[in-house]
Amino acid sequence: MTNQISRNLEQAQDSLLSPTGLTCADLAATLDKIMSRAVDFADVYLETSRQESWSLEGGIVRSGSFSRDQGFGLRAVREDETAFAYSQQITRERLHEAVQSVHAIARQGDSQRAAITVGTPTPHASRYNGTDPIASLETSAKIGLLEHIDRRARALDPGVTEVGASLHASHATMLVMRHDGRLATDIRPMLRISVFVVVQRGPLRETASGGLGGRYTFSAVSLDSIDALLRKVVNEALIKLDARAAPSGEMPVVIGPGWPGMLLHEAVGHGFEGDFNRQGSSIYSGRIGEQVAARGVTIVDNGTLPDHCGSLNVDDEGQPSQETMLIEDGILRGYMQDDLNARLTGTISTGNGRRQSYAHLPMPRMTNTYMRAGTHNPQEIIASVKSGLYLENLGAGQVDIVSGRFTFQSALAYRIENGRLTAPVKGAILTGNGPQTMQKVSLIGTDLALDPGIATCGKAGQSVPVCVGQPTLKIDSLLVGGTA
Amino acid sequence: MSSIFPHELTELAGITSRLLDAARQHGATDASASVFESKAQAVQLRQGRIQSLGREVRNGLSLTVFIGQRQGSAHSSDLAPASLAEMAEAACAIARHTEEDPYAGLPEPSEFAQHLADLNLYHPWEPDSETLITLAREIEGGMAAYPEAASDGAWANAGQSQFWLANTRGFGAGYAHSGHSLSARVLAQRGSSRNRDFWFSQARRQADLESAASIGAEAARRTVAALNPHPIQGGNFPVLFDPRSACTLLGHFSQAISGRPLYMKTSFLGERFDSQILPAHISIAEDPFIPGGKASAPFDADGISGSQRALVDAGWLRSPLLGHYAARRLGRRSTGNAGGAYNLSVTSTLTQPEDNFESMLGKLGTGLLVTGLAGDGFRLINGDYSRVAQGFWVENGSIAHPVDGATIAGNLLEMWQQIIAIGNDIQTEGSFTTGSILIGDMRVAGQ
Repeated sequence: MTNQISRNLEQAQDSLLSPTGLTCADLAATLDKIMSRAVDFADVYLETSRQESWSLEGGIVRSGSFSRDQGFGLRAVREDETAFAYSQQITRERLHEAVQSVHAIARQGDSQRAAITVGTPTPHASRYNGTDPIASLETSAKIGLLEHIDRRARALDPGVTEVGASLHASHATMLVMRHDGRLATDIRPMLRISVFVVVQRGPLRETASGGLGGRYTFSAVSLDSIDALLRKVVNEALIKLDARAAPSGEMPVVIGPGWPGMLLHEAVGHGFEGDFNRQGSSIYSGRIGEQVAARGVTIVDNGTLPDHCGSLNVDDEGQPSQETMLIEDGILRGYMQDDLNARLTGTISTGNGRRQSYAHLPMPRMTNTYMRAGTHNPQEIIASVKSGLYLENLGAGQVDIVSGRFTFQSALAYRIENGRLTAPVKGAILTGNGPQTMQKVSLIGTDLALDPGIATCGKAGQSVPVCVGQPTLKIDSLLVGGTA
Repeated sequence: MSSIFPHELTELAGITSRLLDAARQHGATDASASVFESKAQAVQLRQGRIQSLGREVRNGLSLTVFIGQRQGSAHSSDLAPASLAEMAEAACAIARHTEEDPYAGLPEPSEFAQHLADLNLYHPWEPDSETLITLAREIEGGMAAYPEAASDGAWANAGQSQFWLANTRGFGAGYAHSGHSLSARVLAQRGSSRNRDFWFSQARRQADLESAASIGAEAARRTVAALNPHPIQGGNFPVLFDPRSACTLLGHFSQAISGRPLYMKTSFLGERFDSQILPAHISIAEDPFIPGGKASAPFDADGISGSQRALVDAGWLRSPLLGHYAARRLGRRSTGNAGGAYNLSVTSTLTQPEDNFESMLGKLGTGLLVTGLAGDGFRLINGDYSRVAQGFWVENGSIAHPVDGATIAGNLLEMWQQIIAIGNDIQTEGSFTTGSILIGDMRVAGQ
């Protein structure tokens, strides 16, 4: 056991178990009671978290908030059926009640089983430092940072009429024990800064927003990075003041690097989640080894990137995170699995078992998902389009994994005419079919970038932080829903 | 009456009062506290197998403190005395660091809700797991009439909560409410065409839920009907939003007349009050007090009651949706909407009793019927609208074929002016009640 892992275990026990006199042996005894029935799998997940946020609007830091939450979730699985109970009180009594509740799914039987013993924590590499971001900066300096953002954004252009900015810091400690005694803990920091500006020129108003974040503390945030963020956001809002109506119809689209990788998250990523593929509901179900994207397209999910929002030391089932090849040179290589779906499909977990909190069931979720760089110069990619659209920034997106239809909103886009960027155009919806669109990726840039730490993914009512990314891409044809 | 909750309502009142005391002890000059408890039972079935079966009891506490014109807040799920003290300390520490906000503070006592009518919101239902599983099986049974359909999930949920809100200016009130639901999600396949859709029923009283089998059947009918979509030619056409889709238009409207977008000047309706934004035949009314209504409540998060009024009267935009803070910033009175919109309904004086869905298809003539929308394509700042529609191409009042992935675009102000008719095929989704809405002309693009 490395020092880091044993320190994490000590800290997790101190904050989750010791306050109510519990030990890991109590968790093993709890799981033992569940496994005394005919159950295939059980785990108990405990979590405590603290969050602090500050927000500025109208030129003042007018509100702040602190919250604390803790609890455990207990799960029993037989074949593909799951019973689940949770409580906000981590006590022996509540654990006992939860056992009674999840027994609903179990049959009587199996008294020959050996008792569960507490294992040693799962070894894993450290992808981020567990330091608490909330405590990493004096309160007055947090206020000062928001005030700096307000002053700086207004100073960038006299057209800036309103600035909104917020800081969100959180620190969570989790411990999960499985029916075979496997034990894992993780201490997860998260810091996110978001900004929003309104600009006005005559009767025209526009808005833009952006942010940055990661599993780090305030020491990782420089004034230079804040400055670059503000320039980008103010600039985007000003450009939109001049935007013309977006075109409508099918056309070639070039999509810029970084956050627009959200397109892949929607068009590809969700369809590669193990639950949808086990159930046969994804358009990518049963297609391992088939060509599902143009040659040259390689997409991975990688939970090991240092300090990124989607990174995990271990997932919420205690599996160390890894890099998983989804599409390699156009060929479907594998799906993202949690424990349940891996077991039912005879594969192994890829460290993608994630849950929003102790009150939610884990399921296969993405971590940091991106397309690897290609060989084309981004300028050459734009120059290859006679008439089309260049998307520099995107809004939100979504996908129907059954039909493969994905949609996303452009936030900042330009017409491409004769290989050059011309007029900015208004936001428009873009839509396509994931597998078909991935076959139409004709050029891939050298400029892979990941999003700055702003991505959150929603699935079945659960939100988790993720990261997306891509290099500049050319898609030969995508439907654009403008008014012109 | 003995409570089904871990605490009696009077005990929740006691917790808020201890929280307010703790806030005062830590230096707050004013404070507002709330606490809730909820109980839920849920089952999700998929093709006869239990995806998840669970019961939950959860609670939460919120505290907002004021030290003069500065404010701070804290949230916790721990009702123990030590937690109350920690919350008060944390909220007051934050308030000492925030800046003076001339608009911060509690309402005057005269503004608080005075007469708390019983709105018939609480009809507890605590079925055992077997009952819920049986209902979920009946939902799946309802899908069986459609051989191309398969269940992608059947949900049966029973839920009840209670809460108490109190502040240091004398307001203190709370109540229990319930919400139960049955939902179905269906996968359908015909050749290479695959589709997924859902249907659900939601009610405060279990007896008011639509039958489980009918929910499964409706989900299956909708899913199968959309198989084998054909491409359509782009152009400008009339567009009919079915009631479920039309509710999204009401959603955009209510967002655009809400407090924060108005005081941040980010709403395209900000300067349109007391002007005509809809044709004269259309009005939009808000009613917080519909007995058993899905969005009914006797008071908002500030303790102020809403009112029955026209938000849009004969096409003219008359009233915003404001909570106390937004109202102060705008120099207006709160409309009791700190928790958002209550029950909103849109009506047209042109609507006749015989204007059912088929009659609305006749009024559409040749154009696009929208039954589902995807994409985040509404821009609050200017009303620009661009979304992806699922639905049907209609020719001469008859459905010709399904359509998937057509884009529809325009600007909400122009789209609203183009509303020709509203159907009598009224449905309620959450806060919103409407019939189908026919828009005379929109930009449609297809593949």
